[in-house]
Amino acid sequence: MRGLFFKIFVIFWIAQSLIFIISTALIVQHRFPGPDVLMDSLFSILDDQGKESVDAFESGGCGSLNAYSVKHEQSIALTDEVGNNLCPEMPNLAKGNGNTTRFPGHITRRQVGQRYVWSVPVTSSTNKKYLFLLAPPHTPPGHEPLPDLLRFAFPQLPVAIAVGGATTFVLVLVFTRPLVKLRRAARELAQGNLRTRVTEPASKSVFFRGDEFQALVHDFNHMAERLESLVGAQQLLLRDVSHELRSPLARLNVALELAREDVDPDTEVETHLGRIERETERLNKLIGQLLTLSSMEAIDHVNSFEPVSLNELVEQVIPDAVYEAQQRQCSVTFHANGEYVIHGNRELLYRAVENVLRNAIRYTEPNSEVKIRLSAEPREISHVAVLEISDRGPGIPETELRSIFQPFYRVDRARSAGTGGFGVGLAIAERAVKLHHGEMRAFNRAGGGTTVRLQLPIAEGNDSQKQECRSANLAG
Amino acid sequence: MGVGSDKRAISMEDVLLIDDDVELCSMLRDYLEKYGFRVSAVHRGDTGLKAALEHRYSLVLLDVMLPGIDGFEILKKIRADSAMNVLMLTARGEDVDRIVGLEIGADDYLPKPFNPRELLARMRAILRRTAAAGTSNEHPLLRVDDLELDPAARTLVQNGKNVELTGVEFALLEVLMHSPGKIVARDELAEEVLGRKFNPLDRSLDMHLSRLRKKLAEGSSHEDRVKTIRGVGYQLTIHKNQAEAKD
Repeated sequence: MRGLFFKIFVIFWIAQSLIFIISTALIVQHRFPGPDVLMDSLFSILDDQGKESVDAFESGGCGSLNAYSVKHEQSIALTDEVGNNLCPEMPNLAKGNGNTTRFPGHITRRQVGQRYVWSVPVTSSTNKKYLFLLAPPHTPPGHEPLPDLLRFAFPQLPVAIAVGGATTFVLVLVFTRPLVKLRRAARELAQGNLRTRVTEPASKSVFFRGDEFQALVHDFNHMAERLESLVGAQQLLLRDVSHELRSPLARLNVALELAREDVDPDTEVETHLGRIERETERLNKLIGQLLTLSSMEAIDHVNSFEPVSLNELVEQVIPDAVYEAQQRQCSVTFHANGEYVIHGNRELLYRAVENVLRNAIRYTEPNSEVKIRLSAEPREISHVAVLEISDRGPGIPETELRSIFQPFYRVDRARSAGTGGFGVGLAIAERAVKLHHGEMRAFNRAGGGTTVRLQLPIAEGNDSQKQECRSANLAG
Repeated sequence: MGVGSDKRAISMEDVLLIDDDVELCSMLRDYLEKYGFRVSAVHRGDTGLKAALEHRYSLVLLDVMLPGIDGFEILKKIRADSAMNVLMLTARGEDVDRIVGLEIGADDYLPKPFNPRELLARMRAILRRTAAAGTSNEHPLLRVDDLELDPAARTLVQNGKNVELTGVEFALLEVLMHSPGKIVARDELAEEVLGRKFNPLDRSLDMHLSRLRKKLAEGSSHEDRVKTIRGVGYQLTIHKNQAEAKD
């Protein structure tokens, strides 16, 4: 959002400032004609004066020229074509070197000391060529365009830039503030916090009420409400169904056991009853998982957090899983880079790790290895513990990597039917990790297989706890 | 199934079943009677409580959701009066239920729906603890500091005062007092006291121990008699040296 803020702010501010600068420049240019216009009029005056003085010289000689010079209070001189002063009693302006600037029509300007000497070629009516020299009594101030602009814009320009900046700032705030709020809410919503709403500001002014952003906020809240009620209804349905299934299942369990009591263990009926029992057990497990999931979805935070050593937790999960792994002729290895203690609920974390590990064992190829790696990674503020469980299974299509954490989601229905899972385990695991402010992701491994990665924030400042765990492990 | 052989192997035990599912009760009664239990079934909370207080049952199977008053209330009222064995039938998925049940003082819990064989095993584990009392005349009195435990009479005397313990609490303390000052592994404790393998998700041991701790702390100046060694087990601390030093 910072990006948009700065973009709008910078563009508007520059635009406003440019508008002011350009319009000031236009005004200045209009009021003070440019050097060309100035020069043209100067040259025509010089030309006129040159002609008048040549006329005076031709008609009355040097005396007349001198009278002309005195009359106009200007220091002038007249030379012939090659530069010889025609009236020796008058100042020799042709003398002296200096910076010479040339202008069109062979007019030149030479700087001599503080003064400028203009020389203009003049052709008299008798077709004689002269050079008219004029030294204006004082140097006129040069019109430089930039200092001019600054001088004329001085009080207004900073004020305009400051005011422009301030108004743009407010404008951008008006734009981005609701956007920032909306984005934050949308992100929360995407992370599963369906109770998120954007607060509709109770603005008193008519100016802000009923604008498009307000309408957007209103619609967003409406959408979130719908979403929450729909998801809520779905969860409630799942939970109610599971609840209601418990009673008949409890009766079924007892009835089945009663039936087995009355049956000779060697008959075919016993085989059927055995199958019924296995299926009942599956149903039992499914309902247990569903109820676990729905009870976990109903809570948005856990109060009973305690320091939990992930190393210890994984070591507790492994023995049960190894039994399953052996049946599939695969092995489980655990490698930890150190001891990692996080703040959490032991039971939920156990469930998370257990479900992910069981899932990995379920899908890995026979004679392969399921690897568990525990390490830590630095984050902006603190460290996160990273638990990676990798299998050598068939992998998951890239497009479905995010979906596998949805309950009952199956990547390949035909293939996973025989694996014995329900597709609820990973959903339970993800929910548990989220309740610990962690993150769970899956990605495909090079060479086949999937890695599920659990990131959990490491508890800070409990070194004593760590040591206790370590000493306990040593004692064991 | 090999269970058929030990039918009626134990003497008739009176069991009270409090559950509002009438059909389930009747089937469970049939089932349990085959294994030598005499089952009385009650389907309401209030009448169930009355039955539990009137007659001394070996074991009460108590559902949580009941019309009248709920299972927790019944357990609280029973515990105010006696250390009768109570097995709670909690609802699967309601994790809070079993924690609350154990906190109030249930001997064990079983989430519904359950396998009846599992129920039978749990019931037997509870009853075996109680039954050990009559047959263990040869067990000597156990003494650690101010605690005096009589396995035969199933009594605990602390500083001359009688402390009432439930079956599990008694069994726990007995195991711990056999090796005071030493760490007893939780796996060992679970198998010996609860009659099942230790499960890290099962907080029963912790719950029972915390109740035991509370009871022991009431009559003693020593704090925290039973220490938890995280991830390993539990230990009954000895304060004898301090006591002698004071003398």
